[in-house]
Amino acid sequence: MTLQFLVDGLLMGGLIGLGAIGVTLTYAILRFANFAHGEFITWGAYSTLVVAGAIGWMGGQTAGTLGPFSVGWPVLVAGLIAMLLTGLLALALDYILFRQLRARGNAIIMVMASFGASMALRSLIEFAFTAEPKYFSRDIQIAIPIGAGVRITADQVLMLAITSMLVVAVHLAMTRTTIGRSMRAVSENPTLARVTGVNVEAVIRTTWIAGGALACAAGIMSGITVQVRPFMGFDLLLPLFAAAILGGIGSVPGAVIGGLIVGLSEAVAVPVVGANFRAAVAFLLLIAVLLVRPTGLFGGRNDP
Amino acid sequence: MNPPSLLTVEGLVAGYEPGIPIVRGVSVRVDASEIVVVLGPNGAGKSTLVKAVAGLVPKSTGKVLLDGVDITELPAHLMVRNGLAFVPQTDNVFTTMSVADNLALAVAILPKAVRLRGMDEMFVLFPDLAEKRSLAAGRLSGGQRQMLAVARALMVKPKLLALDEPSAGLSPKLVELVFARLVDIRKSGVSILLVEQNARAALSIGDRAYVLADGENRHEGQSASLWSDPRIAKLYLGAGGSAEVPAS
Repeated sequence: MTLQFLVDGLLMGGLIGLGAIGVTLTYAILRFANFAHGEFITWGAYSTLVVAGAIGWMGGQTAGTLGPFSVGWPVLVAGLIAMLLTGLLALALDYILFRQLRARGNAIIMVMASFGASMALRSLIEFAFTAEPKYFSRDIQIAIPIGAGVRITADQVLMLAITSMLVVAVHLAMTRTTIGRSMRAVSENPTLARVTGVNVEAVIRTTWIAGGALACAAGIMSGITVQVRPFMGFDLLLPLFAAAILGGIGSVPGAVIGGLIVGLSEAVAVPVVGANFRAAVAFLLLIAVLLVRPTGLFGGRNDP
Repeated sequence: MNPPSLLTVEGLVAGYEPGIPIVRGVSVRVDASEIVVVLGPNGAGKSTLVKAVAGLVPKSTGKVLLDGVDITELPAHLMVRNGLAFVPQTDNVFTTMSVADNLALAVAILPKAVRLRGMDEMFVLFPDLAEKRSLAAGRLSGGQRQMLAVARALMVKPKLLALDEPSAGLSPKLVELVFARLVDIRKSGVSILLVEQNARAALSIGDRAYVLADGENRHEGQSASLWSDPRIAKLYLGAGGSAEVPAS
């Protein structure tokens, strides 16, 4: 067995980690498991396609690709715009649905509602774009050997770099900025946060926008590495929750490390057990963590 | 005519569920640089009263004025901007954050004009906290946590500091320590509204006191005169009757 699994695992793990940050923050701050989070990944990928298409259409066909990468600058610009759009989508979903239910204070109803929202959002995508997979690029990328039998494409290098940057940025924001401290405060004790002067509603809005934007980034990466299809986010839901719980609810570094563990485990296990059992790996990890260390590797919180 | 009070609570009705008031028409007044104690048996509504004043429990009728400003309808997170800082009874520090982060958060979210006290000033008032500034607040002792909770509230230089049973869970020695700090704080010009179960300790530092029962005002007066009234001590203060009332 070569070390090739490291590249695939890290890439998949980083992608899961980005999505899991949103899951863990929503869980910690709004206190419910949002099963619609996977759809932000899907919507992020599709809106990037649409915006990139619009940029290409307006800017003519001069765009081409960028350096050694399979995508050009329109996709990068579109990605930034789509991150904002997905953040706003998450915010809109909260405004229309979750905010109303939060007032009644029943977490189970919110979880069920998120299931419904997930189905609705996915169906809208299928309705608009059909179930046919789409691609950011049809170029074939040559993987360059980097020693020890490992090959990596330029796209993969770019994605690992962007993931690392996003993760560091979110971690710094959580630990060094006022809004980050406010988010941690609300996650630990909402009443005390209010007494201290934290505007809990503003923190909730920030959480949705950040979670949506990061899910969009994960969606773009998944779209570039594999393909863009309506079930892409839903299929990632289990790994996302496994990563968030593995890392400890509320912990951003935990979510990322949890993501890397899930991604690497899948990459190690798939050649052995077959791709059909990919989802089972995340399941097994999840069950193992819940049995051995229910608060996760980095979590201090024990409440549901 | 007397100058208006710093805090005026007038006929306040409040409770968690609509139609089930716990505080039923309470009036309380705190003047400048005064320590006012609210006492009462369990379930008297004293804790609900102070939480309602802080904006944490819905109020149905009545008025709360702070320094002449009507703060009745103000959401809890805007109270500190208007000069009212509240220290809850339990879970009153962010345990996962460092001591310094707890204090920093208190001022950072406020507009610059309100950020008056520096952290150093707090560490002078609470020297114990200075050496633990980078420790997670969850690892502090009970007394230190209470000090941090008070320090956090003072960071925004409030006009009124409201505390819900700061003596809860503390040893008598620590209660004495915390209450001595409250006296220092009053000397610096901050008024204090102190809700307490520990009547002896509270009345020893309070100027005036109110006794609540069943969500209503029952008695009020100077701390010393309430202490020496055996009828009140026996009925409401849980001090074990007249035998324990000191001769002061």
